[in-house]
Order: sequence, then structure tokens, then C-alpha cells
Amino acid sequence: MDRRIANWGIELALVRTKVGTEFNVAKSLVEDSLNSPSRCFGSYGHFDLAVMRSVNKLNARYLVLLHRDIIESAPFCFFADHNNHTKDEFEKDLDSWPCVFLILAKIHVTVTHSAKASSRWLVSRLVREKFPATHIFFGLGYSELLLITGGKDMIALLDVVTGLRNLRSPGDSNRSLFAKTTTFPLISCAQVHNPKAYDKLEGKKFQPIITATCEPVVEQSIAAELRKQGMYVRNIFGKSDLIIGWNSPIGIAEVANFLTQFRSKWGPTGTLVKTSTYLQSPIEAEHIDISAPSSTVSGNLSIAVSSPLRGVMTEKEEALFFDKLRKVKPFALQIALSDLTLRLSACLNAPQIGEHYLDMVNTLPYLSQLVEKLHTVSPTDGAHYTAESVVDLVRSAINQRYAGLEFHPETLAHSHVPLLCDIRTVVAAATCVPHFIFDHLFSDKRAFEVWPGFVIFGGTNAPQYLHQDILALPPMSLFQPIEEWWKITHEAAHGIFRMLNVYTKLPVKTKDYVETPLQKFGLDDYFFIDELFANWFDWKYIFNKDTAFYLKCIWESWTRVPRVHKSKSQYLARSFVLSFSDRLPELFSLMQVRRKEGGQPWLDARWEEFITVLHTIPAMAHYLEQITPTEKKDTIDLAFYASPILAFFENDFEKACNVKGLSERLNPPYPQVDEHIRLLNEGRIIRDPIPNPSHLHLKVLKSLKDNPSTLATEIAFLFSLENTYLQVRG
Amino acid sequence: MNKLIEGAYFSARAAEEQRLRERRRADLVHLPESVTDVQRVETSWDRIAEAFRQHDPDGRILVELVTT
Repeated sequence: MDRRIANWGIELALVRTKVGTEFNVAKSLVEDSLNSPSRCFGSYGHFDLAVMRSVNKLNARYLVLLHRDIIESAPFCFFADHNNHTKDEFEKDLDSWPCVFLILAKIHVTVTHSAKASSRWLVSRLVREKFPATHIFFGLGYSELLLITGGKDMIALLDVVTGLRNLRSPGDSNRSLFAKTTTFPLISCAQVHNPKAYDKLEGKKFQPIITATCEPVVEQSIAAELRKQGMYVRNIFGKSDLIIGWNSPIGIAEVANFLTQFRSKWGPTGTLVKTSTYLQSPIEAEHIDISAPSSTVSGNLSIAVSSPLRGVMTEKEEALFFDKLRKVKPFALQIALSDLTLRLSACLNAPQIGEHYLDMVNTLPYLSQLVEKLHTVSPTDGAHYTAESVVDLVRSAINQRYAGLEFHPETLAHSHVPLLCDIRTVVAAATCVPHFIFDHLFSDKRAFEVWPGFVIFGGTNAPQYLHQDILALPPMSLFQPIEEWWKITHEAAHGIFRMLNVYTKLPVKTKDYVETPLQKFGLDDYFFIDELFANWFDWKYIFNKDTAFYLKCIWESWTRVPRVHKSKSQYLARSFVLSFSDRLPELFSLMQVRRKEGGQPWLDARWEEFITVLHTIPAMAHYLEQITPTEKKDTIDLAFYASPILAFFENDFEKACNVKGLSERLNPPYPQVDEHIRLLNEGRIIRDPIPNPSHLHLKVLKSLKDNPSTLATEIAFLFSLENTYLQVRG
Repeated sequence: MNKLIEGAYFSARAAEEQRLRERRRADLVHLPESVTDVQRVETSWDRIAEAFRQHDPDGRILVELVTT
């Protein structure tokens, strides 16, 4: 099987509009299409429209623009592989089909658990064998696959959906291939709605059901009107208010026409809020195997639900934790922490999705200790402040792994950043490199014993190191894995600085040398040393002292950050000092004759070399022109005064912090790296665990030579990192 | 329950660092904040240089530090 990602994918947006305005909105969205035309379809559930377009790059403008009649939209991206039909064939089908069925499919956990990164290919092959006309795309969230089929006969298409749902897991005919499917029957705006060509819709008659939400005052009027048309209308008492149906089977064309008329008439009054239409088909007896076992998952993924934290804490630990939680004040924080604990444990205990929350499992021991601190440390020590922040971060992280426990696309629409929901593959891929670092920090400890945090997307325009050692990548980097994610290693280094207590491991005299003058000036020496460490760690262990490439990468990134322009001496010093960090003995030998005579000329020469390298970075031209003589002097002085700290890092860090051999652990032999780069350039997924994902990442970045990576390479890279992370985390 | 190394858990020092970091980010987006905090962590590397210069103007202390 050709396991290559193709250089295209689709952007799908589900859109809810004001009732009756959907086709005007559809027209606007189609007219607004730029290079890649959008195709609009009427939908009949929570959402009123489905809009699709092909894309050949990830970082593109969202297809749904502001429109006064759009109430909400849920965005998704899916990607094609080379076994799929071509982009032209897909677009031709979309343009010619009156009816389209979107089927969002969650592969059964028993398949994903055994096949890992191959599961999308394995399942799509099985689908193609039975339903060769289906277009199949790979997803990044709850639904690993999007299946698209279409034609004139909507009722016949229902049989395709039933057939898909009844596919069985390879090797176990008692298990479904899919754990869940969500189907969106659509009708083409271009083919049917716009020309009002409802006669294009074919299929035997059936009896659909419509639910409606409306103001109570209009119920009787709606009912009276529909009864005149031979329909039945009844009150229902739940989320919706009315159930509407036909007394005898009816054709799909009449149903579509009826809905258009009905929504156009009642929508503008503002009294009809929403309609949802359900197609039905009988359950064939042959599909039911009453001898099959229940669908509970066997093995270590099955966790009894009698205790919320079973499998994560012992009963004794849980009792202690709950006892401490009960005493938390203020009550708002108690509620937030309690709800968060239950929500996260529910995710961890859900058989279909629990695996994808394992990176967050350390949140529970961290919270347990933090809750204890709420009772024992002074309010000024920041435990409450930390708890409040962690609650928000963990909630965002839960939604990013899946938008809710069940698949509700509207949850994405309700999220404050819909694009940052239901991206668990992206999150897992972004976790691969920091997990690799924490996994190798000690020779005898795994990442799950070291790293309390996880990765989220959110925050500002730069990566961030947050409470609980949570590492945040900026929202804009979501679909730029190669060009942006390498920056997370700097944030991981901040976590290492904290967890290894590097600050307290500095020799007393060195620490005093920094602490005394800075504290006298009311400055934070911890922060100063922490930033020096993070840059040094990244340069030494991740970039392997490839100084020119390191400077190019960080300065191309830094020049986009406003504060780097405001605080030139800081950023210049943080990078300048690294340019001579492995020559410190040379500097120190010259210091025997005092700085002025010996060290200063040597430092000035290093500065010239440093600036020469920076001049090779096009993005720096303007920045370098603006460096004042004072900023230059401050930079050189800072590097000089920081040199004893760098000497400690270079000579004593590993021994002082009990991480001897770290350099070797973070740079394991990786003879196949060039072969892996070739695979990625061809859009192929690396199926074996990547020995050193950060090295691969930097080599791919370097190989780009300032050219943007292709969509196929980005997605293959993303799936490869996810695959490695899932395989190595244990 | 997972057994994390001691350094992985909450500490008052870490909370203080995060508070200062958030102040610094607030500076980035131009939100009002405590001037003292910002001076401590961000806009003051020129002041760090000045602090060192006053403390060790000719580098004599540093020489002693790195050569003994």
C-alpha cells in the first residue's frame, strides 16, 4: 500500500445561520472564495450549512468570514493520501453530486491501539475495498477519518452509511471497525437549492422526522399550518419543542423543498430558532449478531468506574485527595478544582479516548500536592494563584485533546478558540520533542516520573513556559509544525532549570557574584540565570553547538517579537555569550592580566565575529543598524559578567545536578536520519520510533533553506511525531 | 499514583517566577502592571549591566572567581 500523504486536503466548516438566511450566507461564502473555491451544502441538523474547499497548504485563512447571519461555525481540516481519489476527481464529484454524505468516523480503540500510525491506512483500505467510490481523508482529532460519498439517491446513500457502520475490525469480527460515526446528509446548493432543482433528488419514499425549537406563542400557528398540509405536529419536552413528521412516506425532494419553504417563512419572524431533520432507515436483522459480546474494551484500557480516579490513584490516595479538596477555600476554587478532577478522570477512564489523555495524567498528583499546599503555605506563596491558573490551562487542554467526551461538533463552535479544539493528533505530535527531552533527563527515570505538565496551544505569539511545567505553543503555530515547534525546547529548558533546582546548585561564590549586585538594584537574579540557562541548554543539547544555525533560528524568531526590540542588550547578550561559551578557558586565561588589557580585546574580537554571523541573517539587517554604542557596551559587559555562570553550565551542570551523561542521552546514534528526511520529503510517515526527534526536526528545518515546507511533508512530519510519541511513552 | 520527582511539584519559588513571567507578558501586550515587577524581570538588562559594573568595575572580582 502506498502510505504517502498527498499534497492536498480539505477544509470543512459546519455553519449555523439565522433560520431562513442559510442560502444567502452560502452565496456570500462562495463569492468570497479566493484561489480555492468553496462548495456549500445545505445541512439539516444543528448546523445549516457545510462548506468545503480543497487546500494545498495548512496555514491558510479560515474559509468562514464574518457574516451578520452566521451564528456559529465549527472548523475542521482533513488530509488526503495517495490512495485517495485525486483532488480533481473529488472536486468534480462535489460539483456534480446533488446529495453528499459526510461521515466523521472514530476508529475503534482496539484498532488504533494495535496499529498506531498505520490505523488510518488500515481502516481506509478496508473501507475502499467495500466502498471504492468513497473519498477518504485523515483527521487530527476525535474522528480519525472523514468519509465522503454522494449521488442522486439519498436513501440509497443511507445504506452505504449502514454498511460502513457495520464494517468489522480486522481479526475480530465481533468488534466494529468504527467506535462512532456522525453522519451529515447534505444537499448541494449549486446543484439543487440555488436553482430550486429539487427534482434532481432521487430515492424511494421514506418518513423523516423534524424537530423544531421555537417560541411557545407560535406553536399553535405552526401546527395549524402544517396539519393543513397533511403533516403531524406534536409537542416534545426536551431540548426541542416540536416534532414534525409526515403521515405517509414522502420523497426526499419534497422534504428538502418543504424545509426550505418552512424555514424561509418562519425564520424571519424570529420565532423559529432551529430545526433538525433526521433521516431513518430500518435496522436489518442480518446486521445484528446477538451472540457478540458487549462492546466493552478488554485489557488494560478497561477501567472500572466505581471510583472516579481508579487506575490513577489508590483508594487511600483518592480519599486523602478528596478530603483535602473538600476543605479548599474559596468555594469557587473548590468547585473548579473538584469539577476539573472529575472531568479529567472521566476522560482518562473513557475507553475510547482515555489513551489520548495519558499525557495529562500527572495533573492529578500535581493537583493533589498543590491542594495540600493551599492549606499549609502562606497565601502570599502563590498556591492559590497557581491553582487558579492550572484550572484554566487544564480545561483548555482537555478540549484540545477532544472537544467534549462525546463527539459534538457544536462544542467546537462554542469554544472560545474553535481552531484550538479537537486537535489531539497535533498535540500528541507537539509533545514528542519535549517528552524526548524529559524522558532522557535522567538515566533511570522516565518522562512520566519527571514532567508534571503537558503541551497546549494557546497564549500569545511566542511559546511559553507555564505553571505545572505546562508548555504552550502559540495558536499561530498550530499548522506550522516544522517552522515553529522547535522553539518549545527553550521552554522545556525552563522546566528543567526549575525541576533540577539549577539555581541552588550554583557554587556559592558564583551565585553571590550575581545575586549581590542585582539584588542591590532590585533586580531578579533567578530570572537572569534562568534565561541564560534556557538559551545555553538549547544551544548545547538541542542544537549541538551549531552556533550559526542556532543564531539564525532564534534571531529570525526574536526579530518578530516587540520586546526584543525594546530590550536589545538582553537578547544580544543571551546569544552573544553562547558564541564563545566553549572558549571560556581562553578568556579566563587572558583575565590574569585584568580585563582591560587581556579580556576586553578578546571579547571585542568575539563581538565582531558574532555580528558578522548576524549579518548573514536577512531578517536582522534593520535590527543591527539600530544597535547603539551603549547597547553594544551593555551587551559585551553582560556577556563578560555572565561568563562564570556559563562556565558552571559548561563544566559542572551535569555533575552538580545529577544528570551526568545527559549530552549522550540527548544525542543517541541516529544513522537513519537522512533516510527519515527523505521519507518526510516524499510525504511518507516514519513508522519506527524516531531515535532523536529534536535532531530530525532541526535537520528538516535546515534542509528547507528558507523555503516553505509542503503540506504533505508537514502532515507526514506531524503523523510521524505522533506515532513516535505514542510508541515510546510507554 | 504516579511518583513524580520532588522538583516536579509546586513550589513557592516557581509560583513567584510564573507571576513575574506573566507580568512580563502583560508588558508585551501593553497592559497596566506593577512597575517594580517589570524592572525586576525584563526591561532592565541595561540596569543589570550597570549593577555589575558598579559591583566589579574592572573585573577584579570575576578574575578572582574564575582563577581560584
